[in-house]
Amino acid sequence: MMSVVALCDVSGLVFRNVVRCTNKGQAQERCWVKRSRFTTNIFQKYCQGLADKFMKHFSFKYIFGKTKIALLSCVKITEQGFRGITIVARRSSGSDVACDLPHAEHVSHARGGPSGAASERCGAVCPLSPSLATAVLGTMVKNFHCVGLLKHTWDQVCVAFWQRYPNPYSNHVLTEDIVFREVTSDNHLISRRLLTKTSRAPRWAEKLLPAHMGRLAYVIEDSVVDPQGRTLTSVTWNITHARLMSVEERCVYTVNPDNSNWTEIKREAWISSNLYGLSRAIQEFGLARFKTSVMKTMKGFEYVLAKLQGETPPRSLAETATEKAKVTALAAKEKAKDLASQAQKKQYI
Amino acid sequence: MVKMNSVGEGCTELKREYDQCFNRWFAEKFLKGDRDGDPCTEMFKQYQTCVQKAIKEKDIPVDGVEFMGPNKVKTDG
Repeated sequence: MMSVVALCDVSGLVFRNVVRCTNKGQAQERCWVKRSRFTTNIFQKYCQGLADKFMKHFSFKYIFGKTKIALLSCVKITEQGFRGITIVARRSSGSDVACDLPHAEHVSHARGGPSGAASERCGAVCPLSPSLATAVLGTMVKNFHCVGLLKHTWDQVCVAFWQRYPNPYSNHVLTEDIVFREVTSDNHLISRRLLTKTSRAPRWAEKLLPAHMGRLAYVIEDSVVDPQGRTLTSVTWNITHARLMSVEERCVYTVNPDNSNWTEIKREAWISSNLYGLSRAIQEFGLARFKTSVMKTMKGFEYVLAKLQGETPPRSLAETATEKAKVTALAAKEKAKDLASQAQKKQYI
Repeated sequence: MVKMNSVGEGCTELKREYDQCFNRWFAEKFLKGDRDGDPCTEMFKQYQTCVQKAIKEKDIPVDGVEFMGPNKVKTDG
């Protein structure tokens, strides 16, 4: 798997994309170049930090006239998620030209101009096939991050961290065990917690999953508490069903810089799936469910914190937040369903 | 107050006893910088013997997973 290191802004290229997915799990793309001449321009090194790990490299053979052209493409992934495809064409002479195709929603027609329009980005062409997108999205993409706030001290939050199950928002968590714990030589507390959760798959996924897939999911949470530095770092991921959908979450709990009586939680999540054709839909579903789960986690925390302080836990806020989260989650779930049925249809083109 | 169960059905009592000891030590000693040492080690040992056995019986793939996550090196998309 090579990574594409060069790309340039090109005008004058118009592509039509037809994506055919073979049953070997590969995406083949036929690109039809309208212009008979490429306009070569400035080559730039692609953003190293982004590219290497997350770009997949497809190469296609295409013969245009008598010139053999290999068409390469790579997926551009930024912090906001999947952004689009960059098509790089390599001529038999070895030189590359490239064109950015943004995400399908922003498709606009652009016509190439003479080489004077060199610095212009090539506009998108035709609707991008979702199968190409789903084929490459089997890699881990950081697609969620947020900062939460708990209006309690860091100490209180750490204490609550170990006592946050059960709570009214954690009915899906069935068991909780510490399976490893140690105080290190520099006085950090490292622990591993094992959780059993009920595994809820939406109906559209259930139809497509193997029948023997279990209803219970095991999740591991590793954490480090640094009482001097006042940070708690945790990493949580599922150790079952990982091929189907893998969710990894990293959290860092620190004292809020603006108010030393409050605690800030930086949360990042990586959601991915390796099931060809379904991975995009699963990612969307996973993301939607993860957002709901974050909301529940925060509510669970607040509930337990309030109980530990001897207060009555706030409910009305929880209810409005739940409603809003439900609406958002529902919208995302519908989108996931849609993607899944699209993926199903496209698989057999 | 309702408490959580252990994954090993017979280990729940041991788990709860240990948790109680730990929570007290954690809040009153560890977080306050007291390095006197963990008074719950005996309880922890008994609890672990029970729960590790249950994990093996249920074939839960806990071992061999690196601490702090399977994918340490991650590019920020």
